[in-house]
Amino acid sequence: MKDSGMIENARSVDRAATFILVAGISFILLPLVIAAITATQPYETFIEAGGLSFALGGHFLDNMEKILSETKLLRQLGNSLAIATIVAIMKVGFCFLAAYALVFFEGKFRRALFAVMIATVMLPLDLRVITTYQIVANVAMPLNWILDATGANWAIEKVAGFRPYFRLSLLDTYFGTAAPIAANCTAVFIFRQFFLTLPKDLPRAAIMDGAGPIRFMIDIVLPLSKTPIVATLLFFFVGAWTNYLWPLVAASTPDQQTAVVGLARIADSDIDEIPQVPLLMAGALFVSFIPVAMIAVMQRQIVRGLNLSSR
Amino acid sequence: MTSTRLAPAAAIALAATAIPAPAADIEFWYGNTGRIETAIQSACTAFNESQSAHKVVCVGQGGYEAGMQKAIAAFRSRQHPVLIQFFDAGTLDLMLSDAVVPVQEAMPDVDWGDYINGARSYYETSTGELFSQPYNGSTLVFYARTDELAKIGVTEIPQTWEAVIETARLLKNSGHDCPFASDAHPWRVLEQFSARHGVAIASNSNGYGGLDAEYTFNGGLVAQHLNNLAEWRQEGLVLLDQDTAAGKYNRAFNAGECAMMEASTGSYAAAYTAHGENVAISMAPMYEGVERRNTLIGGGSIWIMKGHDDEDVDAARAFLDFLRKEDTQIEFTRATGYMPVTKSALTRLENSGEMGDLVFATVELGVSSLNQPGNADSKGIRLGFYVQFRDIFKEETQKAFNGDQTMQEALDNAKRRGDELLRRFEQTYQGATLP
Amino acid sequence: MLALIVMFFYIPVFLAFFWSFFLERPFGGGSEFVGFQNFRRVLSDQEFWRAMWRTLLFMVLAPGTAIGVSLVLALAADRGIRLSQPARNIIIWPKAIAGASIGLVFVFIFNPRLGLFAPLNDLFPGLWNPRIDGTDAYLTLLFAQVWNGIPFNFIILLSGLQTIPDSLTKAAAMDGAGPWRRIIDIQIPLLTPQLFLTFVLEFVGSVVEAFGLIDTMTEGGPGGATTLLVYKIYVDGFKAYDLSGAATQTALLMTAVAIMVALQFRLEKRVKYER
Repeated sequence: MKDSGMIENARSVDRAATFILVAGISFILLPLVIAAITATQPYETFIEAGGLSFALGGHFLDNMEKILSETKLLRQLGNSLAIATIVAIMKVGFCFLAAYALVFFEGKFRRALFAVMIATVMLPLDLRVITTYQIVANVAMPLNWILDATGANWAIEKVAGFRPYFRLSLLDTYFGTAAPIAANCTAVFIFRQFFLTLPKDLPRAAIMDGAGPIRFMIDIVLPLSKTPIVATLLFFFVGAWTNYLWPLVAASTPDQQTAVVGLARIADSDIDEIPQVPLLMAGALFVSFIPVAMIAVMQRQIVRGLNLSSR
Repeated sequence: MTSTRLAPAAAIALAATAIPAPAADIEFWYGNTGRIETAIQSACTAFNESQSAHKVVCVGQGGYEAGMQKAIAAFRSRQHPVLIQFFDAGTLDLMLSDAVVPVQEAMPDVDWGDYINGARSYYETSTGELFSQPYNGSTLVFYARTDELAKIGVTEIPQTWEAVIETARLLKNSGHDCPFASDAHPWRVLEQFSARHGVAIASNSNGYGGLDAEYTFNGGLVAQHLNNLAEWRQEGLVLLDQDTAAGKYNRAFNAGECAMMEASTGSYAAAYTAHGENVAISMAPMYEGVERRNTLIGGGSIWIMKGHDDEDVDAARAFLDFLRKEDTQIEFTRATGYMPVTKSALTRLENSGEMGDLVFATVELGVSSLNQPGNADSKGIRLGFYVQFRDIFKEETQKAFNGDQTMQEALDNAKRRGDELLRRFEQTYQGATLP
Repeated sequence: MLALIVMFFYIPVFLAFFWSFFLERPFGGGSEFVGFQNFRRVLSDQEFWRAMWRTLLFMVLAPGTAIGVSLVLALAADRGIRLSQPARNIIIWPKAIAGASIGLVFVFIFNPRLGLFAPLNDLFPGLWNPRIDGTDAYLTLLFAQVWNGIPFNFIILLSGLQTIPDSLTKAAAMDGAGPWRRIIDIQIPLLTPQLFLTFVLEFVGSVVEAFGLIDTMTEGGPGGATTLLVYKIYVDGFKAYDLSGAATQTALLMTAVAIMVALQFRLEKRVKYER
């Protein structure tokens, strides 16, 4: 098809592209490689070498063993798994239902519901962390306000002789850590976008077949949505796993913290000695391994499922 | 509507499984980590095994600040523990919080006079009543490497800043890269410095005289000292954290990089492990011609929080009594390097003949530093939002050290911003009187 | 779930605005209505404006760089050469690595005495020290943020590029348009929606995602040079018990972000009309 001049040209462009990709991959991998190499060095050689060196040590297993025995990272890894799973399931489950309702049903409140959800995308959790903390510390707080504001409390005090005050703290619980992260509707847009690409006469055909809205969802929409569901599950799992500010404040005891928070705490625990950098690097790899492996293995599904761009 | 009702139900179920404290137990929240946490936990175990009437559950919060923040949230939702440990800088915030009962009021029969003066003044009211029970006490001392000093012919540990700098110059001239290390943390260069020199950092005797205090450290001896530090750093005689290879002044000292440092008594164990008999300690240096006053107690004290029934408070009393016991204090000192805080515990330690032991090396020096004659300005710090002020002070002085502004500008800025904090504190606690 | 959103989104947002009009005692038991006094205090505080300025600068530099780099990488990966497949996989890895974790690695890499630039510092003392030089510290933060921000932009831009019909680029090639021309005239204009989307998301993301990096890399220092607003709010609220001040700053930052996002969406409408 193309003449020889074009092919020559394409080859040089490909060479440039290859160069760019090599540079990009190196840029991404360099910190990880440095972390991995340092994680293999024993503390003593690290100190002697005066810092960064590219010599492989052979102490990788020793360092990992220390991570398991001397820190709480293993337990914290379990916390991360639990919290990230709760977040992913809550978020995807809800967003799927919400988007389903938004696309396939006409309703008075549709626009209002959509507005309520779009707002959650604009203000990330990290911005409202102070007050979210107060709410999670006592989720019954709004109930108390209502009782106070309506005068119900005053009435109860008259009758029963005491003033009711309800309290329930979710700090240091999986649910308390997960729920505020999940209270966000990004996935609604992804599912809405996806549902809009489905054939328009699909619901009509379903109605003709006599299927109700729930049957239609379970039998037809759900199987069709496998790709975006898997992708968003993974995406939110990773998002919750890497979250830092909220888990940092929501769980204060080491036993309840997530692995990412636990790792950062190890970094400033030893104040008298030069920090155990090889150990820290091993810890960073340990904490990142599960989500990176998930992304690496499921790369195709994520890219296909998160096709936000389809218009 | 079902989801609205379901969510709290699920939440209650989850909360119930995650918080395993039965009603009969009382909680004690503390902030320390590492080997100090281990020592606190073993004290708890010892208490619970020593009797069967009460049980204390000791919960680590991973830091003083996190512990305080969690206590605030817990108090607001009325789920706070009976006992909480908190650090020196938050004393006034807690005193005015209306969330605590003074220990001396809750336990009138205890001989509070047994607490050494240096440990008392920081935590007592204007009428001399202790608000909280001193627990882990430390103070600032001076560290030197005798082997490094011997190389330049210095055999005596310098006692004055003039001598420290002369020694530093000799070290520098003989090719030493790090003569003296500090981190210029306000605990060291502001609070401990001003107390032992008998000067105030704020009016009203550092706030003891009322909430309308104003910062005054931007003039006089404190300002002079900070200006000196900045100059000495330019000269390469004083190194701060960021100038050392190790990244932190005490790590740099322990790694053999630096020859002298100003640090807490609590740093001794690590320094001794690193350098053995070559580490010498003495009281923190003074400027020549200024009379030596007491240093301030660092570390933390234990507070009784309001709103618990008599049974719980009884358990709290029993636990505080246990911690005050001479043996408990000595064990705690042995494990942590903190100092005993009562006269009777000190006497017991002296009589035991163990005082010479390495683990007690800082006790005698630290206590005598705390017990130097004091004046009105060396009692302690009673200033509102002081934790936040420390951050401001650090930020402004670091800018000066890094050359972004002069030290005088830094101190003036820190004073201005600090005064704003004090005024806001005053307004927040309008109508409250200083106990 | 709707209850959860109300509970953990709307009530906290409301509470932030509510508290910004009160002076709250940390332990409760006294809160005084002070009108706009908190706003006056915050808005007249130089530190607030410095943190705001640093945040705004960061919001421009970090997305700009991350999207630029991602675009170049996506264009290269779109060529369908042998390296494209591994690149597609590896380049998205940072998405799975927490800022707080990689922050620790970058702290070490950029350490002036132990890290990558240590040999350079031996030759020219004082050339690179993020622990002293605020600009150096800001740059390390920016670098780490860009590293962390590439994957998402890369995915979006690459999938956008792949929806551009081959016939279009082939036709242009037939007409004698070189690869460079095709990028400028066809690929980038057709990528506008994706570029827009990444910019909106990165813009909001850079305000908050830097927190993990700041907390592990610089703690806002030296001398406050890397104190972005989100870090300042955390310190004021959680370390200094200034609930009213932190709530006021939260309210201001939320308003600013909401206005900017709304403006961007207006802009988007225009982008679409022009096409």
